[in-house]
Amino acid sequence: MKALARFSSVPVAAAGRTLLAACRVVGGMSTLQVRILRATFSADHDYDETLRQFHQVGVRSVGVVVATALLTGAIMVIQSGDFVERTGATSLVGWAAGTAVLAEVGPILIGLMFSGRVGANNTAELGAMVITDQVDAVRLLGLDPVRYLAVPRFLAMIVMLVLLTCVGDLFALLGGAVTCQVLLQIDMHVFWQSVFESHLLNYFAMGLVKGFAFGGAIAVVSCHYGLAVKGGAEGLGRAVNNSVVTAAIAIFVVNFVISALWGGGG
Amino acid sequence: MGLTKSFGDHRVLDGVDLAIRDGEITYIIGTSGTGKSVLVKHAVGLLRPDSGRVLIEGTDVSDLPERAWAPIRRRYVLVFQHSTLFDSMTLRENVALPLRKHRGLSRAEARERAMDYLRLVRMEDRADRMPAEVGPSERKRVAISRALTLDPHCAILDEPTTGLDVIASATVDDLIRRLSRELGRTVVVVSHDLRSIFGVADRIVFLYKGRVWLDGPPDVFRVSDDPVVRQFIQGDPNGPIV
Repeated sequence: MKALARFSSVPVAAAGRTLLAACRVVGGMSTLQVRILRATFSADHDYDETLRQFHQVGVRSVGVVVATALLTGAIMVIQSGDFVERTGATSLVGWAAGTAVLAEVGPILIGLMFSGRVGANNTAELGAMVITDQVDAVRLLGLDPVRYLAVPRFLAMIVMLVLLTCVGDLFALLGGAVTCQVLLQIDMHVFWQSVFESHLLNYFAMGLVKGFAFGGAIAVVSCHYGLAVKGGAEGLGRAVNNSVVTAAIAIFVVNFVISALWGGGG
Repeated sequence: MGLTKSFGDHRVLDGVDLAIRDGEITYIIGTSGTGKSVLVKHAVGLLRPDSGRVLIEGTDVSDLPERAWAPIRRRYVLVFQHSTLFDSMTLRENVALPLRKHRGLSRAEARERAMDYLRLVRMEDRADRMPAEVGPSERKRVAISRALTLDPHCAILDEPTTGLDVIASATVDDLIRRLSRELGRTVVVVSHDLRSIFGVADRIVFLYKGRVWLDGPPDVFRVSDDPVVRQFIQGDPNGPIV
């Protein structure tokens, strides 16, 4: 044991432990994802719990998404304002802001806000259920915690993040248009005309696909950390923290993969 | 049979042999940390034994996969010490959940039927409150009624009167008696509430040092001259139990 203790202090052992821990997390999430998908495509759904999750996950997130989107659209227009003023290319302002908002910045920021609000809340709720034996109570009622607790959250997060991305896109463009008019003194009709003439539908579709994928990733990550909580309040805090960080990383990885596969032309 | 269970280096169960008899109210008693809750969790598959066997109706269930436990858990229900009602649902919705999931009732039918079960535990007038809005005694009674919706053969109650005042404890004791006498259920109660134990039990199983130390009807315990049993019953701080 002493020899083992000495060995455990060397960097190689520490790196090994980190690698094993990472493998456990990835393995746990992969297993959970398979179980969720299998249960999702079965007939037995709890519609009551799913509807409750739709409300909790979606309706209550509208405010924060609208606020984020309005500011995102405004910032994109401000950033492109300098170029527009120098070149006088006002007809490009809608294209520049629209492309960035619909394809990249909008879905990512909405995804991150969603992860911070919904994902963290989901991990905390499931973790508290684990600590207070409510998850075991689900099992004792003859129900499968994945089917009863994780699947409704998975469905709600996917559907609602796609819908929230639509809402966010709309308000981001609205924020951009108002900013155009107020700060850049460019008529907002020019902005809208630029948006519609730029054929941004493909970017909009890419944003929705990203919303779909981000929703799934946030659901799996937050459910995994919530259901795996150990060690009371301290463990719960650690789980929420890990969930938010991992979900953020997952969002950027998924975003990279989708952008690369979709192609730069949108 | 011969059940052992350790957590790390600490052996909690050290060869427990125990058979629960149908129709009886069996109290499993012992000091804190003697493995009472650990023992009953084996009966519903929340824990697996290190060695020994768990037999349910003659079938060895020690190594059953998680999925196979669902039907057993509907016949052998365990109600935790901390009631474990779902925070996000009203009391009525908590009771209606198993009715919806296992009896195929619609939401409205299940909610209506839930009232019958809440009436059993005299909670029908608080049906639409949230768990946080009622006291611990009420929560425990609702948790028992939720378990009864599964129409179990055996109800296992983990410390149902711990932390309750005398009146609330008597209400739960009365419910345990009715479960056995009126509804014909087998009831296993984990407890160290002596008033409840000697007032309700048909049979008492005393766990000590990870084993069954004494097993018999309450009268056997009343006249026992075993120093361990006497110390526990008299609540004496001095004696073999440290």
